[in-house]
This record gives sequence, structure tokens and C-alpha cells, in this order.
Amino acid sequence: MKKTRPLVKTVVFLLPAILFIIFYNLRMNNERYEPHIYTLTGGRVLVAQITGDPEITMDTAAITLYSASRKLKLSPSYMSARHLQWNQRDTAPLQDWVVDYSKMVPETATGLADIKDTADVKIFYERREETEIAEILHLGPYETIPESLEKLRQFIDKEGYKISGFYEEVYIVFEQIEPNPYDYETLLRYRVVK
Amino acid sequence: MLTKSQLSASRILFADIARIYGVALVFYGHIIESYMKAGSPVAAVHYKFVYSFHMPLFFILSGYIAKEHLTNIEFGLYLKNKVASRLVPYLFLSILLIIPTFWTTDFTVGLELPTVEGYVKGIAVTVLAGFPYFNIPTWFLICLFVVEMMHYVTSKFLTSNSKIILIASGYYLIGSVLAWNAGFLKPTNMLSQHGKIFPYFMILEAFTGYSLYLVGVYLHRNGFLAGKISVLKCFLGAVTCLLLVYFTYDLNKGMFTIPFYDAVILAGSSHGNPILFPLTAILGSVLIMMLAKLTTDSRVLLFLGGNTLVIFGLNGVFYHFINDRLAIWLLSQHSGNFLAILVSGAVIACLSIALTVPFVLLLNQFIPQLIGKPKIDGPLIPKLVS
Repeated sequence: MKKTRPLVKTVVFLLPAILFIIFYNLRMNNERYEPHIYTLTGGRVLVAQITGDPEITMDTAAITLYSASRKLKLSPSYMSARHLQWNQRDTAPLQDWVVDYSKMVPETATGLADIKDTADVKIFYERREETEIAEILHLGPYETIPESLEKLRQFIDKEGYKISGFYEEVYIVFEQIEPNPYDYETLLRYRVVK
Repeated sequence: MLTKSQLSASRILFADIARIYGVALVFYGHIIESYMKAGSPVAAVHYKFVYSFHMPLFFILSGYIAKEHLTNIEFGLYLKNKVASRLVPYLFLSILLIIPTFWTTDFTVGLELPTVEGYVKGIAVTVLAGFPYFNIPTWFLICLFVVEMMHYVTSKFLTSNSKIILIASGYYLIGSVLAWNAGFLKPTNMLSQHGKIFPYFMILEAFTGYSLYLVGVYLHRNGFLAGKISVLKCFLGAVTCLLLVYFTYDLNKGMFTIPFYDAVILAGSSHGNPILFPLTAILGSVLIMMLAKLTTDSRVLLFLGGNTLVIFGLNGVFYHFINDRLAIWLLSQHSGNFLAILVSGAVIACLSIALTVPFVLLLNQFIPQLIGKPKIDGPLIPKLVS
């Protein structure tokens, strides 16, 4: 009887903690796909600026940033695509879209070694300041991104914010690591102001 | 000729001083981190240099002063001792830093405070996941606690130098595999917006921590820096280590799991190259140990060295509430060149440590049990362990 007491005590003590963790994590899992507004921290990025249809330029950007990272000994990080004007999608023809593909780099990254701009790609470092953004995690193929964007825009309206500035996609799970497009995960972001 | 007890006393003294040098590097590293976040590439270089060895130093020193064999100590007693000297200060220092969040919204780690949601998340992560959301620098206490539990289990096998090396290598290998998978295991994911809570209790990093701890055990067992050593020998050793650290710390590149901090960050299991990381870490730690050996006569350093746990914990105040704002302001005041960053960083680190001293005295006077001295009785709280 005496021996079982510590065990019972431990279970009684741990049970609420385990239940809390399960409940909390389930809630976080559901909220993961809901839009939210927060302040994105600033930082340094390596940018490959390319003009053209993202269907084509995205592959060029991925190869460019990958080989630049190898050459500059940068640690692996997610690639993002930033449209400096959020409504570029509606205001410019596809072949004229300017997209800043980038990846986060440390502040120690300053030189570009022998990496030079090409006719299609302009490569440079940029420091981005902290910014208030609205964000949603899009699950699935890129073709269905507009549906998530619509949900995000409705949320921004509801919260009393206005879109101002860039639109950005961050590729968390993408074609190079996941063959099934329905498992792609892409963060969609608008810069917002009150 | 020194007696055995004098020898042992001298070892503890220099380890205490090495600890306060380590704490000074923590203070310096954190103000430099704020400079770096404010956009200083010079600070990023300093950061990488300091971070290449300053936290491994604490693990090595803990191993150096640890008991090599624990078979004669009952586990319950050992556990009680470690809970009282590691987990109680961990909780106390976290609670202490919750207080300022009631009136400031400028908390630096992403919790929305003061909101119920923010406190629930912060407290849950601190208590259930073993990551000190309100006082990040104290992650070391949790990790050390787990490391010391590993030591209890392993200590009976540490019967020869070769066994220590073998066991340390085994732990390091497991630690490296875990760290290399940090991108998948996501030990710090709980800090993100919708991060889930997992009861990690720094276990991922504890394997690497314990391998470094065993380096300390090995050094102690082999009488490294024990007894009297000529000043010249010690000085030359320190200069050699400094040069070796200088020439190796920046070779570790391109393999960090936190890509925007090109540096060793043990709290985030970001080690970089698995060969270069321990090399620089051990060299840097030996450098600080030798510097400490050269300065064992300083009473001020000895006082500070005897209170490193609480000084270390109080760094959270500067880390969470002061450094970022201070660094942004300072960067607008000076050129941000090598010397300006070095001098201002060093001055701020020393001043910050000096500011903790009244609190150290106060806490020592009234509640020493909560700051890692559980065997002291009274005046407000009875002793926690006998």
C-alpha cells in the first residue's frame, strides 16, 4: 500500500499537466491555419530579384540562392518571394512581375565573393526592418493560394487593418522536398497598417 | 608544497573565478546580441566569437568540480539536492522576471504580455516544457539538472581515462545527431506563434552538455591546472588558446540550424560543424580556465564567482527588458566600429554585473535557499536540504 502511494501521487500530479499539454497542442494545431496579425522581426536577407512569370522565375531563384548559399557558406533556410507591391497580381502583366526571392542570412554575411548579377537576376543583400504583417498558412497546391488570400484579406478588414506595401510567400514545404502538392505549406503575408 | 586540502581549495577558487568570467561573457554576449539584432555586422562577429565557447565553458566547469563517483549517494538524496539547487532557482528566477511584465509590453521574446493568453503560454512552457520563457538565460539550469541526472547514471562507469573519453564520445555522437535534427524535432518551436508544447526539458542539448561535462571530469581527474603552475606557463597557454580560438571560430559555417545567427547557440541546439564546434569550445574554455588560474587572488572576483548562479539569472532582466533598446540607442550614438562595440559592450556588461550586486547581497541575506544555496537555514525560509 505504502509503495503505491508515490505512484498515485505522481499520476495525480502529472495527469492535469498531460491533459493541459494535449488540449493546448490540439488548440494550437487548429489555430495554425487561422490568419493572424503580428510583428515580423527584422533581419538581413540575401535577395535574388527576378522579373517575369513566377512559374518560371521561382526555379531560377531557388537554384541561384542555393548555389550562392553554397559558395558563401550560408546555413540552410527557407526561401521567400516578396512582391514589393501587394496588388502586382492585379495591376501588372505576368511577365512584368518583379519578385524579390530571398533567404535569411546572418549579419556577418556581407560580401558576395565572385557572384555577379546576370541579365535576369539581380543579387544583393538587404536589411529588413521589423514590420506589422497579417499572415496565413496555406496548405495545398499553389493554384489554390488565391482562396487563402481571400480569407486573409477578409480577416484584415475585420480587424480594422489595411494592406499597405508588400505581399510575401514563404515556402515551408515545397516541391523539392514534398512530391504531393496537397502537402505543400506556404506562409502568405501582407504588410498591414492600422 | 601545497597540502591536499589546499590543492582542492585552490581548484575551487579558480573554478569560481572562471565561472564569473563566463558570466561576464554571457552579459557581454547578450548586449552584443542586441547590437547584432539592431543591424551591426561587427557585433555579429563578436557574437560568433564569444558564443563559440562561453556556454560549453559552464558545462566543462560543472564537470570539473563534480564528484566523479556517486555510487555511495542515494538517488533520492541526490535528486532532492539537485532539485533544490537547480530547479528551485530556475522557478524563482522565472517568477522574478514575470513581475516587470505586468507594466511593460516590450518583452523581447514574442509573448503577448500582459495578456492571460501570454501568461498561460509562458508559464506552461516554463513549467511543463522546461524552457524558461520569462528568463531565457536560465535554460542552462534545466539543462545542467538533466546533465547531472545523466552523470548519476553514468558515473559508475567512469573508472578510467579511456572510458571517460569513450562515454563522452558516445554522448556527443547522440547529442550531435539530435542537434542535427533540431530542424525536425524543433526544440524551440514552442516559442513561435502557434508552437506546440513538448516536455523537452533541454534533453536534446543535455547529451552534448554531458559530453562537455565529461571533458571537465577528465581534466579534473588528470589534475589539469591543479596546484601551483608558473605564471609564464599559464599565460603562454592562455595566449596559445586565444590564438587557436581566433583562427578556428569562424571556420564553423554553413551548418547551423538557426540560419540567421551564424553562431553556436546551445539553447537552440545549433552547433554547426560537429568537429569544429567541440574543438573551439574546449580551447576557449581552457583559455578562460587559464585566465582564472592567473587571477585567483582577487577578492572581488571570488565574491562574484561564489554567486554566479544568481548573477547569471539576473542577466535576464537586461536580456529581456533593457539591452535591445539600449543597443538601438547606442548604435545611433557611435560609429559601430570594432572598438566602439567592444568597449561599449564591455562597459555595459561590467555595469550590469555591478548593478546585480545589491540584489545578490539582498537575496543572499534573506532567501539564499532560492538562489542555489539550499543548505542554509533561515532567516525567512528553512533549509531545503540537509
